[in-house]
Amino acid sequence: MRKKSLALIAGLAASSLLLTGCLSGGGGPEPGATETGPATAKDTIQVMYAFSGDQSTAFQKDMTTWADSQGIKLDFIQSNEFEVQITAKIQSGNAPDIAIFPQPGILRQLAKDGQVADLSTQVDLPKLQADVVPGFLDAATVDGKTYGAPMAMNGKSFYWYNKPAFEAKGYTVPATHAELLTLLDKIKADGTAPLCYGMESGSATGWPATDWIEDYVLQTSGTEVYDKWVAGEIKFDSPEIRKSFDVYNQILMTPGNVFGGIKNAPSNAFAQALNPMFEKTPKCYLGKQGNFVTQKGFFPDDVFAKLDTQVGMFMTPTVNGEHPVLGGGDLAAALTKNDTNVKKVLAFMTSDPTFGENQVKTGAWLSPLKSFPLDKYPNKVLQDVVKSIQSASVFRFDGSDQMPGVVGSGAFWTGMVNYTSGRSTLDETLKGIDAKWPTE
Amino acid sequence: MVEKLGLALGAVVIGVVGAVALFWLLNKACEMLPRKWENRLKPYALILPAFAVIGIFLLYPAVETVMSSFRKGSYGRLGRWVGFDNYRRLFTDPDFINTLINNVLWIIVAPALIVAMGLGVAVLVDKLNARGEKIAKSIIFLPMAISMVGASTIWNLVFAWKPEGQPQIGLFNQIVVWFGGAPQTWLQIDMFRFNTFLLMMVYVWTQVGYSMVLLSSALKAVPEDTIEAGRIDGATEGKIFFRIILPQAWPTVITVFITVLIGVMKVFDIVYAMTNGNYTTNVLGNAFYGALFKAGDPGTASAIVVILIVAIIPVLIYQVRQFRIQEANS
Amino acid sequence: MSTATQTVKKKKDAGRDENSGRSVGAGKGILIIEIIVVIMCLLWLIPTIGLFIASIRPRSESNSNGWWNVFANPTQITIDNYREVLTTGAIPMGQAFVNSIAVAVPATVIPILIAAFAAYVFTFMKFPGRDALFILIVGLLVVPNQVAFVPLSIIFQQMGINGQFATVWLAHAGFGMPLALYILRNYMASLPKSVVESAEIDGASHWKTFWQLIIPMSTPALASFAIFQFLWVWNDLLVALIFLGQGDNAVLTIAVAGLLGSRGENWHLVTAGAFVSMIMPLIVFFALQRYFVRGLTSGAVKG
Repeated sequence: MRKKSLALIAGLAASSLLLTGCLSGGGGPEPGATETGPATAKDTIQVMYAFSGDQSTAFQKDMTTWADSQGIKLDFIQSNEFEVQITAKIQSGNAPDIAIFPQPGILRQLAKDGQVADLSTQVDLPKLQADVVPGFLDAATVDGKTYGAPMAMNGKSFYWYNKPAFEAKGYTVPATHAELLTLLDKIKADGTAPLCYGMESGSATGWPATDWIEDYVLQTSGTEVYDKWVAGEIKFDSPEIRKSFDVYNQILMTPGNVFGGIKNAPSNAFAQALNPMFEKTPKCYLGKQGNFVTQKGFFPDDVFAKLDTQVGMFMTPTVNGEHPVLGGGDLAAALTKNDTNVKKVLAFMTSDPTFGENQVKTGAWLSPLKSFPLDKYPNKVLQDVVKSIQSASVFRFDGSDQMPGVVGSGAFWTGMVNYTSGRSTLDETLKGIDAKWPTE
Repeated sequence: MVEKLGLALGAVVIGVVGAVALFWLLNKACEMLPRKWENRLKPYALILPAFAVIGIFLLYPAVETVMSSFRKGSYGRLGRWVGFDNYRRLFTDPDFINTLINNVLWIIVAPALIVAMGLGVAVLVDKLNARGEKIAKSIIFLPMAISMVGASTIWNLVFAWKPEGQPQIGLFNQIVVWFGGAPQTWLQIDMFRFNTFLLMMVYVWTQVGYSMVLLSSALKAVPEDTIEAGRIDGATEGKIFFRIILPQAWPTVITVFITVLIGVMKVFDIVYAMTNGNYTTNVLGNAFYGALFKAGDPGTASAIVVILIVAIIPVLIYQVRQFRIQEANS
Repeated sequence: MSTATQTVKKKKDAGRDENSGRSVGAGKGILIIEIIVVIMCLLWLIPTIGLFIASIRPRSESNSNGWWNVFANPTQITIDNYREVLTTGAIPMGQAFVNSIAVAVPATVIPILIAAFAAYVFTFMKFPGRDALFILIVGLLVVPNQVAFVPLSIIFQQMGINGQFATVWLAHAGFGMPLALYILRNYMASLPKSVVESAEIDGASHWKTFWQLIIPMSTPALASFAIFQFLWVWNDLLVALIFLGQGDNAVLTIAVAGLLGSRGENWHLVTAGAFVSMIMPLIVFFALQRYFVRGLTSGAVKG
């Protein structure tokens, strides 16, 4: 999830788009050409996306190598403020041919407005469905039709540990939630805080805590409850969701469980929060975070250099025997609906084995396709991550990315900050978040 | 690149020439009229461009805002008219009451501090030699040249917290640790709104340069002979400052104070970047931003702006009085 | 005419004794003042020094310990961050720099010209509704610019100029106009009325009075507003983001914010980027500084 930069304007898209639609009455922007008319074949295909840095460079390399061989020219628009720009471009009749959405919410909104091509008219959908992790495509589906093709993935249901230190202490990887709790107590009894935890992320502070809750809603109440909760049909203040908060309490709010004190976690920068576990005498033995912690800039440089020997990983230990996985990803969608070259580009991104060759080297990119060869990942840790995601019973897209902005990037974050820092009780927190859920 | 610079240059030339031509035309058009009409219409003709711009960019959106504040809005869509519902909801929300209290605190403390410090610096550096004055002024001015992204990084390096025993990367906590204390999560401390005062400190840091620059010039413009006269009468330096210099610079002090005050009422980016309004530090500017861009609730966002506009009415009344006094004197 | 020039000259002479200052009780008094000023300057500088040192340290060091450690271990110093900022990144810095200039210069010059005319009218011409209109302007000062974003993007789309520089020029002209008018009017109100009156008696038109008397006398106020407007436009992220976006026309603030990385992992690059983007405002400040020292609101004192 690109909370840090995208938080800045989360929701602006929706607001400006809809305001415009409202103010300009019926004379809204022309929807793209229909799927049925004669197909065009544009020389230049405009591709807009939100990721930045190394991944952006690698993505462009992957794409152009192929496009050159096809005689297609690609025009890339990298946008850190994707929502704002895609909305503006669509409104002004200047939409890119392909947009790669970092959050499913806006994609689904545009799909409802008829701006996005049905994916089944673009690529071999059944083949894609068979190849991606089950559940991923649900996030890009509206009324039974799929609109976005996943081209990158991340997983968030992971605990990380300092392998040599963890093993030296004789600790073993917990297989169940009960074992995890025993392990936490054991580490604490040995005189160290079991966990490192930070949720500070500038103006997006709080999101790491929402990932905890989402993961444990999946674990304790299952996908059906999760989907209803994300859709607003089950309240935060409900027995089902409270179960997840109970786990949050058990693991994090128990005194002595978090290095530096849980009440300070909202001030602890999430990106470096896990690093004290790699000190000579580790300050903690476990940390929970998405797989992006293994990219450069998170773990200390010397640990990063020897990831496979230094870093251990296990999936969230099961609470009820199921192994769901929480994650995120980028979804490519066609805004130019009937163009042979657009279809070719989408087909390349979703089925060609050479797509991702450069991106995979960055350590920040995972393929959502099961057919992507495992041995291309730069280290064993990432291979394990991918294997775990693929073997999971089901995949669910980050819930706060799908909830209305006022909750998903507002009240939910703030609520977690207030609850974690002890400024509000559980009841106040849950009722407070529910109160912000839009009523109309 | 050259193209772009050319474009900028072209825009400046075309903009300036165009604007002058426009004014010339407006002026000429008025002059073609009979004398009586000319005098009547000319003022309106010459403020027309300014008002056209203000009208499109502020007045029309502001009117739109007042209207929207009486409508229901969700997901960015303006819905039915709901009377004062948005306001009622705001004023019954304890978070919002806290936000209002914070804004009042900001309004009471920050502008006075910024003007007083700006005045203090202006007076002190005036007594240094020219080089010292230039250096000191440049240093105080420096924060104004730093963009918000840079400034929030800077202050992260001041307030940052790491668990006790870890090397601190925040200056405040390092100092505390040097003195044997335990690191504090500064921005979480809201006893007596301590964290709000920390945020004000950041704001003051960025804005003193503005008030210093304007006030320093006003002080320097005080005619030397009036000061000399005071000295000859044997007045102390303090008396000279308060009785002779300050009264003459007062109009500028007021201008600076009001512009700073208005900036403070709208304060947004510092709060957004440092706490996003968490820990009872929220202010109206951030609440507005959250309501409009995050919650997609234009109705509530508009109501917040209307509250701001209402809050400025006392300033307006004062301004009208000043305006009348100036008129009467001239 | 001649009276006017004389008044201006006298004021300026009175205003400038750059070299001596107004020192009277030199010696000990000055020393205390110097100490206070030095302490204040240090306090003001320390945060920026922290940022600068962070910009010349490797990320791993900045992430794991405080910037002051550089003094114990000066070998850490590196220019890699700057190299990376200038050579990599989605938006080339050089291009963004030029874009920023292309945005900031017209967005500074155009509103000042328009505001100067209006300020003159408000100060020296009498007409019904003048007070009401001026009060309206002061009232609009408090309206957050953000309220205009949505209506404006609709207007710009209808004009078909979204994403072009003209949008930002116009938007900044609009947003800066009330403050420009307010500051310039307050300044002009304090210019000696006699100047304009005598010009009128000499038979000079308003057009002539404005160009030949008021503009030269207002240069300091114009310059000061120019600097502030330039700074605001240069450092603005939101307006540029919404109307220009990330394409070929992206400005420096967008490029620097873009350095942050998807999850803020590249904040060490932002430190270097912030310094690169500070160059221009500082040049402008130093270039126009003499106006400050001269006393740019000198007219704010009743003549």
